[in-house]
Amino acid sequence: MAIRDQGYTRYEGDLTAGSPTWWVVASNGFSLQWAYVRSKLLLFPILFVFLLFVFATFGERVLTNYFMSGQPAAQPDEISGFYEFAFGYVQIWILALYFTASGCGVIAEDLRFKTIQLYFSKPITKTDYIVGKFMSLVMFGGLVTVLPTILVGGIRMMIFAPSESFGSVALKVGGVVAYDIVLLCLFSLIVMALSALTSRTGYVVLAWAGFMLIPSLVSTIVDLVRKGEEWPELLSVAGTMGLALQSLVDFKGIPQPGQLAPAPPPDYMMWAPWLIIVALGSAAVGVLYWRTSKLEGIA
Amino acid sequence: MTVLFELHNVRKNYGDFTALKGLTVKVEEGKIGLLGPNGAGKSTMIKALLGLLQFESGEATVLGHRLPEGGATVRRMIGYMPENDCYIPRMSAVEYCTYAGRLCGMPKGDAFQRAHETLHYVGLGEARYRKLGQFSTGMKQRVKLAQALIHGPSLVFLDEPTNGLDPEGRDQMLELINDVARRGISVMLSTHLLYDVEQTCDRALLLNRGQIIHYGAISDMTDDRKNNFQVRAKEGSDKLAAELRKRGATIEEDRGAMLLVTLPKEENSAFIFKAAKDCGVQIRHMVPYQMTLETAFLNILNDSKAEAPATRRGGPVVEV
Repeated sequence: MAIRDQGYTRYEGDLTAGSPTWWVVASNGFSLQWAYVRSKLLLFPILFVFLLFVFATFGERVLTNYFMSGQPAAQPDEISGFYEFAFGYVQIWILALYFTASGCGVIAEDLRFKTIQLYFSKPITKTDYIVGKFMSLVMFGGLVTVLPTILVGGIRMMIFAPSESFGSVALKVGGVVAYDIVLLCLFSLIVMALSALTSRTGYVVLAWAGFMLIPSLVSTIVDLVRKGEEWPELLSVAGTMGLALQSLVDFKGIPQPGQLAPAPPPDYMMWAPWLIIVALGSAAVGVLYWRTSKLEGIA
Repeated sequence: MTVLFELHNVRKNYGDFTALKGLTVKVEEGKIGLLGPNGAGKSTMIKALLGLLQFESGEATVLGHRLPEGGATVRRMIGYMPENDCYIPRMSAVEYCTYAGRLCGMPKGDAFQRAHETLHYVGLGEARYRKLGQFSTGMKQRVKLAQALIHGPSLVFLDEPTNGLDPEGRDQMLELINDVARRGISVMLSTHLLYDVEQTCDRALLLNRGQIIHYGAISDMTDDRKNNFQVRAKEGSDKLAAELRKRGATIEEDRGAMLLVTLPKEENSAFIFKAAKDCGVQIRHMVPYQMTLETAFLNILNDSKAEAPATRRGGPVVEV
């Protein structure tokens, strides 16, 4: 087709009537991550894992009814929180895997393909860009965290609705949703920070996988050496998030052999995970700030 | 005429290096070529005009908005076509242009519709749903132009728009740029290719070492030698040159036997024939000397180098 045979006229519409710029960046970023075939394929095994949790809820309810038949109904404090803990803990690794598959290029791709030049030749601020990219990861990660929690938690609450445990279950589901939000924000910030440091998505994937796996390995080794102590959990991101999850869903832990109830954790285990989460999040924000401060005049 | 931008003593440093040495210029709407050797400060000037740089000193106004505080407003009114590729290969041309439009503040529906229209306009109507990674160099250049035009800017900065294009693609791109200008959009073309500027622009802004060394109409740059002729004699060039000098003409030797003759004011070509007849020399070749933009550019550049010691220390160079 010949050039300019279409009666082209200049756009005269309102250039302030569109969506906020951060939302434009976020929605486009989400679309780009979702466009990967692997993003869709990976959802199937992930949904299967969550389906197992739905079955487990049914199983739990059937067994409870069976053993409690003819006895007074289960009291709310009999819901230990193990289910919610397991559900939330699995999400750590699912989210890590999902980001490894599709989220690591969130900023690295812009650096590699120089689309960052395009962004900053438009009326967009660095804050719009960072918030937009952050939200794109949060929405993308929400597909395997918040969304399944709401669905599975909703089913669980429906199943427990007739029982007196409903209130306790609802509180714990709410705790998992709050935990999901913390998990999403932390992981999104860390992935963004790593992604901002290089234009090679492969390096970001390696760094992110190393960030998740190596401390977990170290934590496991130290845990084996220092049997019975809980602080080695704090050495890994997964362990730290697990401890935070425990406090949110009020899960006391699994009793040691020969004990009727789990031993109460030391006081520092209540605040140390949150301190680490805040420190990691702040470090990621610091890296992003440092990186974006170097973007002067990139067009 | 509407003033596109006005710079007053704009200075920009990168560490110890001064990229812009107190630029002062006032540019009106139209088609302007931004010329200069590598490292002249062309890219820095474009960044400055986009409101992306903090100046060390000076004032800048683009389309009536002061920089840097009005940077976002300015970028909304300007289209920028970067020199290098800047696209995600997985995006289609329509997605890319829609995204660019939305980043400029267009509503999603408008941006989507305009993306189609603009891609048709630049000749990519058939390829608008193809992934950008599959595009040829020429198509990439056109899609970059489309994203710069989608929101209806008053001014577009085109950075090396014909880079990597074959002759046909280059002519089409230049034709397109001319058409853009005909539709009331001012064009600022940054390029190393003087031919492109000659074909599209009516004015040129020459930069060298962070200073403006010339700003004015291209016709003024190339027409200042309209009283010049290239002359070749069958034999006795020296004799003819001596006769012409004696009658008040200025002679420069141009490629061997060819003489570049500058006639005295009020004289015409008959002056040369008369001199040749009088000294008995037969003229074999005589054409009016048409100075190319390239020659004019090199002359201005050489002149500025000669004057450099006086001006290198900064301060306004050209007041227009």
